[in-house]
Amino acid sequence: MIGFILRRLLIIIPMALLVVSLTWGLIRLAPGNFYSDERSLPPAIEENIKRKYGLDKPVYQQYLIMLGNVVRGDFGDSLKYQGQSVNEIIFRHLPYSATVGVLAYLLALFFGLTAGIIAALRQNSAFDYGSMATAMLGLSVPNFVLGPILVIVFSLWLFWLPPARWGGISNLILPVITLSAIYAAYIARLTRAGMLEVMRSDYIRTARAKGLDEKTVLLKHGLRGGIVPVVSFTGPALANLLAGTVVVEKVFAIPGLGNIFIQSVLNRDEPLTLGIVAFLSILIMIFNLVVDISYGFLDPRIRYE
Amino acid sequence: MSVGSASQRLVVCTFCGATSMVDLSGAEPKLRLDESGVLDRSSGELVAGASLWKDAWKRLLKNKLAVFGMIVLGVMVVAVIIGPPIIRLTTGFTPDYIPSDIDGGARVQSFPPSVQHPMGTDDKGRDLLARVLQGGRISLMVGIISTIVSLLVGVSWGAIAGYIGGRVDNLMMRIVDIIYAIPYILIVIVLLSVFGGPNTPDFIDALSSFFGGAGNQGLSQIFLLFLALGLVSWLTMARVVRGQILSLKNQEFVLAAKATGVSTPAIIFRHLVPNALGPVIVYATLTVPSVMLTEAFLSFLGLGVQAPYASWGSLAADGIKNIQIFPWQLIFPGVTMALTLFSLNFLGDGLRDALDPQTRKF
Repeated sequence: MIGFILRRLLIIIPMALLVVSLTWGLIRLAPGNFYSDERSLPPAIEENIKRKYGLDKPVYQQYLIMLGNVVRGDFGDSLKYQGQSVNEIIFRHLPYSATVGVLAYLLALFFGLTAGIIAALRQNSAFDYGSMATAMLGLSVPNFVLGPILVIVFSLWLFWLPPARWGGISNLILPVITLSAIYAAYIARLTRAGMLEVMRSDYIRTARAKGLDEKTVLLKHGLRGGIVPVVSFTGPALANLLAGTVVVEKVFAIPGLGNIFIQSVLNRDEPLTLGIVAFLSILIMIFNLVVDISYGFLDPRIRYE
Repeated sequence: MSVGSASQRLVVCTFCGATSMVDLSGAEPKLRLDESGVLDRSSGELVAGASLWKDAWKRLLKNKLAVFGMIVLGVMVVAVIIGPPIIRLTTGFTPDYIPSDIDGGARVQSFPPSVQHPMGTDDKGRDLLARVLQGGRISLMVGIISTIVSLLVGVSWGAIAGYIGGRVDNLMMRIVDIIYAIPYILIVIVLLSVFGGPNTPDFIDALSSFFGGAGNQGLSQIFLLFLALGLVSWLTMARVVRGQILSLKNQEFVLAAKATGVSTPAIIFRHLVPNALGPVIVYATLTVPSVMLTEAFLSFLGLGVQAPYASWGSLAADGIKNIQIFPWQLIFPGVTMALTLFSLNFLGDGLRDALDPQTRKF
């Protein structure tokens, strides 16, 4: 078990470096660069810029220098936000995205699990059909449509909640609901399918046969197996939510990491893009590891090699 | 599928009809074929294989939500195809007709829904119904073409990795893992900027000149977007197909094909892939809405479809800017898109239930 965790933790480093290298390659493949505008620069100035950022060196040297910096965890300064280091920018904007993301995921877990379990237990009931149709609606309405509609209703008509910006708890409600809708829908469907699968299995029949009451059968035996698909979905989903979801940040004017990332790609802000990609890929891999470990606790039949 | 005694089994590839009698007892193989090389089907039982699709179709028709989805999609496809010409003939509006151009641009205004403009107009005075229908063409094409691209790449990739196995499999699937870890938006932006403008591949230019006239840069950009979205959405498809192939490749009909000297590519693409088609179709139906959402998201960020072209995503993105004053500009494209995605998801779910009888047991 400990060997498994250590091995997986060690693999994260080369995998992250590979992802960063490929990202670097992709950025370099795209034509254009961060300093060029519509006006072309005088050659002398361009030369100076190139020398300053090491762009006059051969490509393989630039790559090795970049890789060396990344290994040391130093992504350098952002090219667009002068004088601010990439790490500073990431950790300044992360709390906003993380707050909204974690709250949205908790809300989605609560509604998704509840709806999914009840729908599975009362299969083909009105509740089953109703909640699954609602979940489908949640999957089909783009969040950039849902967000503005919520703003119109709750901010502009009813004046209950502020429409945008960062502030108190009241500012969080609408973005969290908007963000959680699609995840709640997904979790509800995964839970229902998982529970239906598990409740037919032999070990549930055994649990019933040995005289356990229905509540114990459901919560202690059924749920543990039934939420395995939800747990595997949680890893990447949570990592993406922590790093911010661009649309919600744009609609509600939240200074999160998602928009910073998109802007960095559009600005060809290489260090910032690489920093966020590295951060995100490590986050995803760690969450996936945690998910893999938790399988063992959920389903005793799963063993680690 | 196999029938026959324990030592001698008749194996049938359900889809291509390749049949052979494989003797598992080690005796000389006996192939009971007629002159044309096709198994004599008078034995009856074998016909059951062909009814898989009929059965699935029957089950699908019983699913009311899936039927609802099919009807809505059918209406939507017909509407986006014949809608714009009908509007042009009856009212004279086209998706890019700007009335204010003629008045000298003095009174630019967005009109609410009326008899003349059933969905109102956008803030340049363009008929929104015509634009929503025109946008539907692009949105649906994004869904279909990108899904075909993802099918071609994903199915081949997954099938080859799954069938060959070993190191090749390991390498191919690690490549999939790594591409997974790179944010897809980065890949799309790079593809769009590397192959945009003067670097557009010839076949894309050919496509856009076929659909809209030569040198149409805006249209080329849209086709490029189709391709880019397809190239980032094949990863899950590859995994799904690989899993299917892994469970199929040790079955008797593959053994039979090998024994009769069928080449590896033919085994993969004529025998294995058709048998994995059920999950592939289901997953493809669910890829269409997800690609359409991604396109809408990119258009929302200003990276996707650009004016004068429109997609549901770009129309909704334009509508959001004026949401307080002209709510119909968001509501109509948004609702049309949600309805389509809703139908596609229901159809996908219905297909899964119909093609995979396992899930119907409960």
